[in-house]
Amino acid sequence: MIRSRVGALLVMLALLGAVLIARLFQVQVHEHEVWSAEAARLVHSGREIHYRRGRVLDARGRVLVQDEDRRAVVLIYRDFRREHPLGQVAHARSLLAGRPIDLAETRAHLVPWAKELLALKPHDLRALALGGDEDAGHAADDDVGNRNARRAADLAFYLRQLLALDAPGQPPRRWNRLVALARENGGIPFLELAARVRNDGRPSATAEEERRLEERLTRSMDGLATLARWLDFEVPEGDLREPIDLLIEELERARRSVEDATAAKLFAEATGFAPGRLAEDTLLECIDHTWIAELLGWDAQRLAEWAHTVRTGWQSGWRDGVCVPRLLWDLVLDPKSDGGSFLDRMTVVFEPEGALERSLVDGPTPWYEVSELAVFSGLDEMFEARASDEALRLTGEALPVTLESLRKPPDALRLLPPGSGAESFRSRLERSLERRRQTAVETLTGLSAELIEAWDLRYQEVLRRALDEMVRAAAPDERGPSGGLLLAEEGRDRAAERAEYFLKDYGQRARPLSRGELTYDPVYLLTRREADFPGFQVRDLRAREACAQPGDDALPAHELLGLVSAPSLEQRMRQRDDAARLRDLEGRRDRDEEEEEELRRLIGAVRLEDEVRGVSGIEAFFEPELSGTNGFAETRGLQDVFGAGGEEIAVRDPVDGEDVVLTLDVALQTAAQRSLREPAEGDEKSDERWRANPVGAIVLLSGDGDVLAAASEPDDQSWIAPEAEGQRLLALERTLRKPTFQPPGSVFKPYVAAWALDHGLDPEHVVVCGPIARGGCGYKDLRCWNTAGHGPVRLEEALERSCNAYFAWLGETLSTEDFRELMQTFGFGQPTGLRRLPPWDDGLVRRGGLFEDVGGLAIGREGELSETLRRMAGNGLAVVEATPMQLARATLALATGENRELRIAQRIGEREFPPSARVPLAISRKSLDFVRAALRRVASAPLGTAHAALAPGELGFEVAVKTGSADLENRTDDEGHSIVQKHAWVSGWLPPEHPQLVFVVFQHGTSATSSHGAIYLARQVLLQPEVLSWLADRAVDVSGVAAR
Amino acid sequence: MKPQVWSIKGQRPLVGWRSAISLRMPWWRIDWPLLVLGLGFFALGLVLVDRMADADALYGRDKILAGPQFKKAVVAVPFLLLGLVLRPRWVRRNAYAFYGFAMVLLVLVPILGMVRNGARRWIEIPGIGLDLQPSELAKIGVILALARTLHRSRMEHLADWRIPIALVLLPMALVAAQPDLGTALTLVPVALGLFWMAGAPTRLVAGVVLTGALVGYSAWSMDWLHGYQAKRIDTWVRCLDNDALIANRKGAAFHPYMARTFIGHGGWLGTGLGQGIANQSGNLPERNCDSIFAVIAEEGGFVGASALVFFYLAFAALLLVAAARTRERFSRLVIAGTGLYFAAHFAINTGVNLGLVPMTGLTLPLISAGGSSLLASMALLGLALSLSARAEPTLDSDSFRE
Repeated sequence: MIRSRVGALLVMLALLGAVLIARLFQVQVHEHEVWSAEAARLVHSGREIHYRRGRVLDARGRVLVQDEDRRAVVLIYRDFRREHPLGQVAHARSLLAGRPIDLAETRAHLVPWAKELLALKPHDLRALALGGDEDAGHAADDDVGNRNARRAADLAFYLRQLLALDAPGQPPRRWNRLVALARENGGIPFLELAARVRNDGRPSATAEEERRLEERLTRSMDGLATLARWLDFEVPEGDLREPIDLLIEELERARRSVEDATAAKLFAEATGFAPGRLAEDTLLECIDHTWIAELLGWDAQRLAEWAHTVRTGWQSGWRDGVCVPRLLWDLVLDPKSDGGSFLDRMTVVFEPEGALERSLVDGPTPWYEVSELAVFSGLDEMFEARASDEALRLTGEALPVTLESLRKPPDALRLLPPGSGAESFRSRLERSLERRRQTAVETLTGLSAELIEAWDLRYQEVLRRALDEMVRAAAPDERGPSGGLLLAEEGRDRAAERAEYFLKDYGQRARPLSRGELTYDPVYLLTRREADFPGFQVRDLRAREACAQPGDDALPAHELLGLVSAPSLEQRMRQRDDAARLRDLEGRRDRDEEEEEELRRLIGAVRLEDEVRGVSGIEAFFEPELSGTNGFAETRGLQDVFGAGGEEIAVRDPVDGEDVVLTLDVALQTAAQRSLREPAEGDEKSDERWRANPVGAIVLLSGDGDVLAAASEPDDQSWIAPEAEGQRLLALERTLRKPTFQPPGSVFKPYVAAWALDHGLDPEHVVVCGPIARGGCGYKDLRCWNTAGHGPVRLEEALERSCNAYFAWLGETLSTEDFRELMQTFGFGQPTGLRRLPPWDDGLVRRGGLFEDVGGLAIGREGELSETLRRMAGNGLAVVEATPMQLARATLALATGENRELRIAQRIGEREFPPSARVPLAISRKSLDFVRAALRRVASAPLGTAHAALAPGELGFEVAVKTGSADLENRTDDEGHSIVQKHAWVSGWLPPEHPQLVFVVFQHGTSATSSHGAIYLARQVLLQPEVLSWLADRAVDVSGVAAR
Repeated sequence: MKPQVWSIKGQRPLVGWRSAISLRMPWWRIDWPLLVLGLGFFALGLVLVDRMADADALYGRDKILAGPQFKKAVVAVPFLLLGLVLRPRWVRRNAYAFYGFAMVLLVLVPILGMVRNGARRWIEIPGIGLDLQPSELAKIGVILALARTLHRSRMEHLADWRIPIALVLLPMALVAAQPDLGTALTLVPVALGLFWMAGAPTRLVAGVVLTGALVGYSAWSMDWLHGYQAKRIDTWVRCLDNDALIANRKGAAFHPYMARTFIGHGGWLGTGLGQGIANQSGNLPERNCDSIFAVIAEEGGFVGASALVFFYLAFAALLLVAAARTRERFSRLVIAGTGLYFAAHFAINTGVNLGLVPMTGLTLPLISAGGSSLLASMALLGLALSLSARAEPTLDSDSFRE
């Protein structure tokens, strides 16, 4: 029997063996190909190879902007919070206190607070988990119970980290022993339990454990102090703080940034709109945020700070920084742009999330058809309480566009702010829109800001009424502990589920800590003592760096060159699907042809996390050329620590971006910037106030129409005095923009003169500049700047002395159409050509950056100038506007007799960007010569308005020039005197006979006329060594300068 | 009066350690092929772990270290010798005591045990750096206790089954509660095999098997199992198809996918010792213990893996044959239990790696890393060799049966 029984078992073993071998055969032989492919996939990896973005060079090949590889110290806040004692104590203390405890406060009490935490007992944790009632045995309700359990678990985590019983990466043997001990010794503090575990229960163990804790804490703070010193956290002079204080402030900012972003994301997940859409008090008082506060451990004060942060961030960041500019650009390109289309786009700002993208793709919904507004559209679903009829009815009153009385019939003009006259909202809008493609976005920015501010006031007020109504009508269980409306449970739950993910995601983003080039010391510290600095890493970064020239601190042409930016969270979210598909394709070993093609397409299309794109200026305009295409390399097999093994196969080499060579000469640019930033003293009537806070621009062109320098002040590098105001606070590219009304004044006269001469003006005709009825001297109702009057003047004298009376008379003789024609002739009211597309561009790709205003005749296409306005127009006032770059182009045309588009880039990669065609002016040589001669006398003649500073004796060489001033507004000085603010201009060229250099100097908002201010600035620029050297290189005789 | 053990040769009664241990081993009667095979598997395991440690070092990982495994081997080998020198009668007399000791250890696990990966299965033995897994000792205890019980029972009637089943169910319940359902279930084929060897009627054994299968199916289909346990079975059922397995490779089917991939990659002749992708990539979970068969299959290929299957089952078969040859019932049952122990572990471990059974964590005795498994395997092997070699005469009825 025994043998038979054993025999049966042996048979079963044999059967088992047969089954196993058969299965082995199936898997290893029959399916070998399948599993070999899978195995190869496991050791097959792909990685993108970053391309190098093209450089921007000046005309002589000097680098202005380039990608630079450098090392930087970055902070991963999540790691810091979890593994550094300072982070652990701060967050643990916050959990206990039920409010956020900042890092600086924690640092001040680090050791005692750490000891207090470790003096907690297991019973205390249990009590915390049970909501304070250890005997309850269960949570009061699920939500509260879950929250308390989570807090207790988080606190346990921090205590464990603080005790540091087990080395990182090792099995938690000691911690497990402590947990086992804690079960039977719930009344013993954690510190003592740890001592028992570590020291086998020796009596002196607790004191030793405490000493060990203190040493660890002290060492951690010493490390931070050393790191702060080596990261060059410089303390301003007179500030008593130390570098570590600044470092901890930076860490606290990182913490707040992570929490603010998480809270905003949670709110948006639960409600469907960004919290910044609501005014701060509405957000805090009408909506309950207890759930967010508990998730993040916030108190009421922190919530209030968050409300402020998200409101200002949404307004300045998304609304004013992204939404409105994109909408206005879209408007500018819309061939049918009118008041209605302007309103359509302004309405998008108040529509629900996603409306911006839809509007840009499909066009905006007509304002009178908009039925859903942000926040209002979700009132009925986003709260536990249902929206009352009254609350829903208020949607129709939230914006003027939703008022039925204004929608039927739809009349866009009725919605605009009231007012009449040339400066009314309506007039300014009409003038701006008349330009259509020629109207720069920034022209409309001011108008949109005005309108949105008015609309937002109303929107917020109506929304508050609706929410107050809902709060009033809500049942007690539909309101939170703060009295605000409870968000719907579904939304809160959905958001809360993802809270950890958001915290982790935002917390894991690297935040640069170091500035500039990293020295060896912090790299050594962080790589050798990695465990002592959790959360701090050294990373290789590629950054877009602007290059200051040797001997100069300021970066040249900062605004003109523009900025780059990494993809935003929204942009990354939009390409999520493509990114996932790319990763999938990268992981495949064998791809078919279609998949290879798709891989190549996606490699170029999916932006990497740190792949920057131009967002303004040259960087944005030449984005298609500057950006390249990422490459991709596959590795088959694994590489060991010696670098052996693994076969890298380059699937696609990266294609670097092309270098853009500008026409800019960095030496001239620097000279112009220097002059503008530190203007020289003028005469006794110069404006010292303006000199202390300069606002203006300088343009230098070559005789061929290349932009040599475009300096603008202020820019982001300017030092702004605390008492500065107005335009001094606004950094933008002023050679191309006109943020305010910007008439050229008398610098416009030569163009009027040239055109009039060619159309029958007798240069010998005399006009008397004498007393007029309104006081002073001039012609009819237009005063001349010379209060004593010039007396009888002819054209040449009028130009030389800039007589307003003469040009008032001349303007009166011209028709509106004449003015249009003369402006067209010299390029006023038109783009200067800086945004001319490269010859290889077919116009299908929209280019951003280098936005320019075009000014021109501000009366609209069908408008007519009255006699008064023609008199003013003849003097370059009232209805005439220009940017410095436009004036420079017109000056070049006057000087050379040819109109052409200006050029800012001369070569891109290996491709030439040729100058534009030159079009002879439709003005005779004789007329031009007459005006040119007169302009020489402006500087050379003793009565010339530029003589004081630009006479040949002052400069050392001769120039042809025109001065101009245009009144803007009156202001009162500190002593109560009324002062007229004006724009002051100088435009000219040299040498007068064969123009090599064209210059325009512009002062914004100065009290001094051009003859007392701008001409001295012009002299300062023209006498800069760099300018003289440049002129000498072109055989311009500047020997007279040395002799002065 | 306490029974005394008398030496065979002398007249003096055996007391103290002499009653337990006899160095007078008829070495010429040891089943050398069995010992050689056993030591061969042991050596293979050490070589494989050494190669894994080398691979980890070469590819910048520190997951597997050879030193600790060698240390465990040094600790385990004396238990082979201990098993060889234990007296059969002493073992028989103390079978229940050993079983009781093993049960006490199992009871202590929830109190003193360490938690790893969500399960509490180990008790730390201070001083020697060994974490003892009492469930491994429990297997020895069950074999000894069953052998002791079945020494006098033929299991002919249902009533005879009560105590043996209780002896099995108690450790099964304690182990399953750790939770370690896989280990608990390995006791089932060992117990059933012993019942069969003891003479249980075929119909009763078949009935128990069928009942067990029905209970198992019900447990799965009616969600009686822990979440992850049910999930493993669901995953196994879903991934019987290769495409489904590959599609789920990044989710629940990660481990079975890795095991199948590396086994399949082996082809006919394998990649060579230490050259498999499983070792290079380090992707295979538990490749030095539960999944070591996949490493052998990849590096040895079909030829190597089949050879292992043949020799390991031959090893188990030799134990069963040795059991058949042993006239003393207790010893026979212990030897048979040992054979069933190795066979059951081998079947489940290779079945898991090949996707024939749902994923469970079970070592390959003598080959896998793991101190407790090695210790228990060595002890059982030594005991089985000793029992089959000594063949002490008895007068029980089995001695006279064929």
